[in-house]
This record gives sequence, structure tokens and C-alpha cells, in this order.
Amino acid sequence: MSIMELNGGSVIAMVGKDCVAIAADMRLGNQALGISSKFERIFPVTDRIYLGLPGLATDVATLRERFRFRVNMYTIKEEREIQPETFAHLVSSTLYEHRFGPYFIEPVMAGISKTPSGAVKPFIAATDLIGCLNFAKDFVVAGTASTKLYGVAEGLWEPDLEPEDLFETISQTLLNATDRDAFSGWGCIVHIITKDKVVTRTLKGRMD
Amino acid sequence: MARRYDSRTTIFSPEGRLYQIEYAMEAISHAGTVLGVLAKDGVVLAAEKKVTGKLLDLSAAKDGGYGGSGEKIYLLNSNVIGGVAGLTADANSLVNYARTAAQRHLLMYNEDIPVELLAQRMCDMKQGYTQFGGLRPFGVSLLYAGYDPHYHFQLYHSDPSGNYSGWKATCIGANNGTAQSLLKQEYKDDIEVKDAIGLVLRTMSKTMDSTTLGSEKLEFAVITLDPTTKEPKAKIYKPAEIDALLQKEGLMKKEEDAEMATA
Amino acid sequence: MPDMVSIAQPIQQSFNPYTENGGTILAIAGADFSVIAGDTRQSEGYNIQTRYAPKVFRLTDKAVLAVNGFAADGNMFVKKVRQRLEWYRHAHAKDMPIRAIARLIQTMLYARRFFPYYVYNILGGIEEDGTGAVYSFDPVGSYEREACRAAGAAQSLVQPFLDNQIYFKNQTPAPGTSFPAHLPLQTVLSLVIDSFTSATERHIEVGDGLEIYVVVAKGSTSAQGLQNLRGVQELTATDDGERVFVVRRELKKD
Repeated sequence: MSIMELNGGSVIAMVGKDCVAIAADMRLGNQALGISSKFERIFPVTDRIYLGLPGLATDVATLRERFRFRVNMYTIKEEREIQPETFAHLVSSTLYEHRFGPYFIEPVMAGISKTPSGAVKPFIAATDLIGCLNFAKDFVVAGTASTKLYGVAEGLWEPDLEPEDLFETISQTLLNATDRDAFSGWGCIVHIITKDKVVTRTLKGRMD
Repeated sequence: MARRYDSRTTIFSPEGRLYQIEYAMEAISHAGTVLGVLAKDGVVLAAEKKVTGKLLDLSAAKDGGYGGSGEKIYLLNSNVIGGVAGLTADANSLVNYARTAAQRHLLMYNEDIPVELLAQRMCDMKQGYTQFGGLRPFGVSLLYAGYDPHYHFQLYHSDPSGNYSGWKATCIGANNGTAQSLLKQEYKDDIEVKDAIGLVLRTMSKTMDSTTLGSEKLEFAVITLDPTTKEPKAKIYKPAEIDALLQKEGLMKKEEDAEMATA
Repeated sequence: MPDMVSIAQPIQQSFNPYTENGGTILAIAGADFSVIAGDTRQSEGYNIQTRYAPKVFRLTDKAVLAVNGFAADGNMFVKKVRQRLEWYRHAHAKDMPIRAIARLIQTMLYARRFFPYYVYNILGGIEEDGTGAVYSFDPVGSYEREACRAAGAAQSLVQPFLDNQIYFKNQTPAPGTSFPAHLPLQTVLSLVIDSFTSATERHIEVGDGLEIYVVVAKGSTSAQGLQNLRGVQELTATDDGERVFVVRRELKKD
């Protein structure tokens, strides 16, 4: 049995029109036994960058704290907030430091970056457990339900969705994909990130 | 006689002194003043900049980050501000150490580092440089202005020997004697931040070397508690904000030339 | 030292009778029609053996069988099923009804319980009562009638999409309305094509071409919509009775 499947859990991020969305299930299990239906695996890094960490639960907590350390140092020294692309590379290099004894996590990031002209650019990225970056233009998925997420997302996603429509699309993708995965589910949480605000909603779904 | 024992920090002189440390403190006594005052609802820090001039590029400081020119006053953590006096290069190294020490504590205990603990970490390191390795001590004195939930607002001072102490009001750098006696007269135990700001600025204007009191020569910072979130709020003032503050206190000294120009 | 010689551990050699040939199949049942589709790529590992190897076969005017998994077993199984259907036709002077074909397939598969046909079967067609039917099987004969089923390499990608679009799972109808119990043929065909294009995007073993079989019940109006479609071919000879059509589409070849 793979270590990545011990605790279960899945994350997805999608790009919309001047907005991004990131969503995850809330199950924490020990193989087939479900332990918690309130396990958060998406964390804010800055106001406009969110990081999702599916995989081994102990590494979720550890990595979250390590990134907080490194981003705090960055913010204090640079005297500005870290940008999404830079943060993605920080994630990649942190994971590669443990190339031969990795963290069992496949991070997913979503954020809004500002271009020099002041325009808004939606950003998503994901890495594998040793830090290989993937800068997709449509969506990124990770976790035990990743193949299911790929299938539904590929069928439902279209470019330039407005925030409300992006919310519906990512929610349906997550719910239907996790319903087909025994190790994901038990509650879903969705964050919609725009230039001005972040709206967080929990979804009503199957709790089996 | 003393010169034979100057070359290394790791040995005492016959009179029982460590000369390198004393020489370090001598270096600091020529540096720009840093003044700190503890109030019951906050701590105030002010500093005189020595590296000034028309050709200095301060564009980053004007709009960017949290203000300050990055010469005297530094944000060490969200709950501690540091003021440095002495060799700037040594100060940068110490500030970097302080910042990483604060983050290491956060990583281990998931809490903001208590102010005294941060001072201790710094002092433990500085003391090492007076006893091992044959390296010279850091030529820097620091003031730590911070807040933690255990002892609320605190002000500490540490010096090259690795010693630290807690203060209600203190001063390091040039003219610190003058400033210290001024503070001793005027300081009241239950002073509030808004009055402490005035006290600090008045003391600075009397002890600073330069004739004008303005944002080109002054760095200013305050740490308070946010009334709603109850979290410490560290504010390092931007140059424009310092000028506005000086205007409010009525301490804005105009250049003689400017006055003559308008007359 | 000359005394020490390296002695290798014995390695057991064996012949693996099975291999995976990739591909994906899908079947959806409507009110009076049934759609059975499969991609046409046959692969082994990273190699493509052929870009056109049919996986969906017409058994009778009412029944179509799709086979996926190990192609050699799949092709042989279809031949054997067809043979049994021919014997039935001779013995009973009529075609086997689809639920009987389903039960027959179960017995044929379970007969090889201890050296199975490595195939996932999906049988689609029209029931005796004129409704659309889909029966899905596992390699040893466990079966069930369903409204829709995906099988093969991209099953995990396609099935949740179908749950959402056919069964309307995790969707609530607008107040005062309700979801339709059956979808019209045109919608179903669009869903099939979208499922396969999505699977082709994200799964390396799916692609090259798509073959869709449509079985339409006697007297159904769904057939009219079909004639307008590009590249439709009718396999049945007469207009009265059930009708079987084939629609072919290209899929990405990478």
C-alpha cells in the first residue's frame, strides 16, 4: 500500500477569468478507517496565494510550518509579499532538498499575481513530491482521486469562467470525483480568489 | 601594558578586563543614537541616521515595505522591533540571526518568540564571540522593543559582551548619557504611547547632532496592540509619516535657508 | 579470495498468459435507444499496436457487445458468443433477447472461473419491452443492468463525469423542475464524444479513433436525428424492427 494513500485526500485548482479557485476534501483516514471530517489541507500563504497539500497528513502539517518560516523570512527581508511564481519555486526547491527522502505530499498552489502594469493575472501550479513544477493554464489536480479529478475537470472546464461559474465548475468536479474515491470525501471546502477578496464555502455532499 | 592583551578577545588583561569588548563599546559610542521608551500600552523607538546625503538612493524605502531606511530600525518579527547602534555590517548579520531565531521558535512552538527569549538567543551568540574562536565581538548594541502575551510590552538592551537588561527607557549610541539623564527626569511609570512619542521626539531633538529634525535624519517605530485582534502591531514609520508626526508635535525645524527664501 | 564464488539465487521463469491492450469503452441507455462506444487504439505499454482495432461488435439487431482488457481474449470471446447466438437461432427460430444474452455471457465467463477471459464486457441494446438497456460484467461474470457504464483504461476519468451528467449526481434541480429520467439521443452522443475527447487528453492509452454504435428500438423517433449526423452508417437492412447505426469520429493521435 502506497504511503501517499495512507491518509487519503485530494486537491484541485482551476483558472477562471481574473480569478482562481482551489478546493479540497476534508477527510483524514487511516487506510479504510475514517478519523476526521474536518481536516484542513488548504492554507493561505499570503492574502492572494493559497497552498493545498494532499498526501501524508503529518507532512501536511510539517510542510505548512516550514513554508510559513520561509515566507516570513522572505517578507521580512524583502519588505514585500512574495509573488505566486516565486512561491512556487520556493515550494519546488524545498521539496528537492529532500530528493532522496521526500515529503509525501504533492502540493497544489493557486493565486493572483500582479503584472508590472498593475493588471491581474490568475496563477495555478502543482509539483510532484520531489518538486517538479507544473504550470498549467487550465487546472491542476493531486491526491488519491487525481485520475477522477482529471476526467471530470477535462469534461467540465472551459476558459474564462466568471467567479460564480468557476465556483460551480470546481465544486461539481470535486464532488463527483471524490464520490468515486473511497479515500477522499467526507466534506469539501472551496476557496474562490479574486483581486479584491477571497470567498470560502463548504459544500454539502455525501458523507460516506 | 594593555596593548599586549588587545590582540585576542579570548584572554583577560591582568586587571581582569576584556579589552576587545570595551573597544567595541567605544566604536558604538560614535554611532547614531537609538532611543527607546516603554509605555503601558506600547513601546516607542527612535534613531538618528548617520548615513545621509542627497546622492543616497532611498526610492525603495519611500514606497516599499514597512518603511525605515534599513539603517537603524528593523522588524525582527511581527512582535519585536530592533534598533541597532554600531557597525552596520555587524548589525545586519545580527538582525538576520534574530529573524531566523524568531522563525525557528515559531516552527518549534507555533508561537511568537517571547521578547526576552529573543534577547537571550542573541546574547548567547554574542557571548560566544567573547570566549571562543578567537574572533572579534560584534560592534553593535541593540534595543529590542516588543510584546508577548506573558509579560506584555518590554524593552531590552544588549551589548557586545553578551549582557542584556530590561529598561523602562534607555538610549544607546552617541550622546546616550545626555539622553539617559533627560529621560530619567521626564519619564513617568504610567506613561501612555501618545505621550511617550512626544517624550522620545523631544529628547531626540535635544541630543541629536544635526540641527534639523526631519525624516532624512530620523527613523521612528512604535509597537502597540491591535484593539480588535489583540495581536501586536509593529509599525516602522515611512519618511512622510515621520514628517507628519513631527509637524503634529510642533518639532519640525525648518532650514535657515528656506526661511530666508520665503521672507 | 579464490574460495568464494558468487552463487546467484534461483529465478523462477514463467509465461504470463495475459497482457493489457489499453483502450476504453462506454455504454449509455436511453428511453428507446442504447449507445455503445469504444476508442479504436490498441496498445501495449508505450507502444501502439494499431490505430484501428474495433472493440465494439454487433451481435444481433438488438444487441451490441463491447469488450475491453486483453484484446486476444476479447476477440475470441466475441467469436464464442456469436457462435452461441447462432446455435440459439437455429434451435429457437428467433434472436436471443438481450437479458438472455446477458445471462449467457455470465455463464460463459464463469465457466472459465479459474483461467478467466481477461475482459471487461459491456452489452448494450434494446430489451424485449422496447427500453434501452446496458449490462456490465466483470471478468468472471458478475453482472448488473445499469443506465450507464464506462470501462477500461480511462474508467476512473469517465465514470465520475457520467455520474454527474447522466445521473445528475451532486446536482439539485431548479425549484419547481426536475431532472429528466432519460436524455435525448443527441445529448447522449455529445456526452459520449466529450467523454472520449477528455479521456484522450489525459490518458495515453486512449485516442486515434472513436466508434459509436447506436441501437434504436422499433418505432422510435430518435432515429430521425441520426440521419442529420455526419458519417452515419446503418448496419440493419430494414426500416421495420430495431435498427443499428455506426458513427465514427477521429480522436487525437498523440
